Amino acid sequence: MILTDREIAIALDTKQVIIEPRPPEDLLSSTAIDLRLHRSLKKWSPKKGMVIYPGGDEYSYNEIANTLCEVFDIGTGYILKPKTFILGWTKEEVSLPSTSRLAARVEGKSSLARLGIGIHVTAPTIHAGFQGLIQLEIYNCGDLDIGLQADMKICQLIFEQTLGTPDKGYRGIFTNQGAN
Amino acid sequence: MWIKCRSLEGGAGPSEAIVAITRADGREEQVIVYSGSVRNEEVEVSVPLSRDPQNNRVLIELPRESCSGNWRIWIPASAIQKQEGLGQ
Repeated sequence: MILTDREIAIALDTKQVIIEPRPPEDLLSSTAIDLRLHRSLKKWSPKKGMVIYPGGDEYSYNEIANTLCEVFDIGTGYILKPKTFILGWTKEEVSLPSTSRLAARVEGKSSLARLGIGIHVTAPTIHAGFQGLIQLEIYNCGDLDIGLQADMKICQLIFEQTLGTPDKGYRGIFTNQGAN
Repeated sequence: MWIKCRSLEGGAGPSEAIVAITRADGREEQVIVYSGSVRNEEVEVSVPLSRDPQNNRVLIELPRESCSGNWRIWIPASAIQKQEGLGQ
């Protein structure tokens, strides 16, 4: 079941979901909450002839990240050219405690989608137990130059109730219990 | 629960850190994690989901999907650090 605005507000009040800084009330909609774009962006710069094999034994994300990617500040704005891809993050840090019986999906906003902007590449799931800024895989599949700016509403988070507590949360409850 | 890891430099986004966790088979698993879950070459993970006493290893779930696509890995039992306040 998807949480409504009222349930999201209760979840935030009771710390079943923690979003810092807490988004103002006007970022809520009936069944989602909008999140904003962080100042940092990350760009991959391919090297001619270099092929990445993510499934290979020798694959090292750290190595290719050090070689091929650049993190930079968005400044007054970053123009995302047509058919280009960039990594971004939400301004807000999100925490979904494993015991809250909640998971979430990060999805795009129709206002951006109609301009050709997608914010994830088939990896929208925010698993129970997640903590941190949400990474966004931002792609301009349209034909327009689109300006990305810090703090703009970039995505929406949809919360879903899980059926039960995941193993890690369930066992964690008993780990933290005293011996008495 | 905290386990041993090796902090790697670079490539991480804001509030992220990249760590390498040694699996029971000796291979390293690179994971991009929340920076608050790393301290002194240790990273916070779930409690063991399964134990294999014969091979002295435990199954854990990583805080996030690893760079090579794994969520659960077997690690040596010796990688688990003593938990504060539990008298272990």
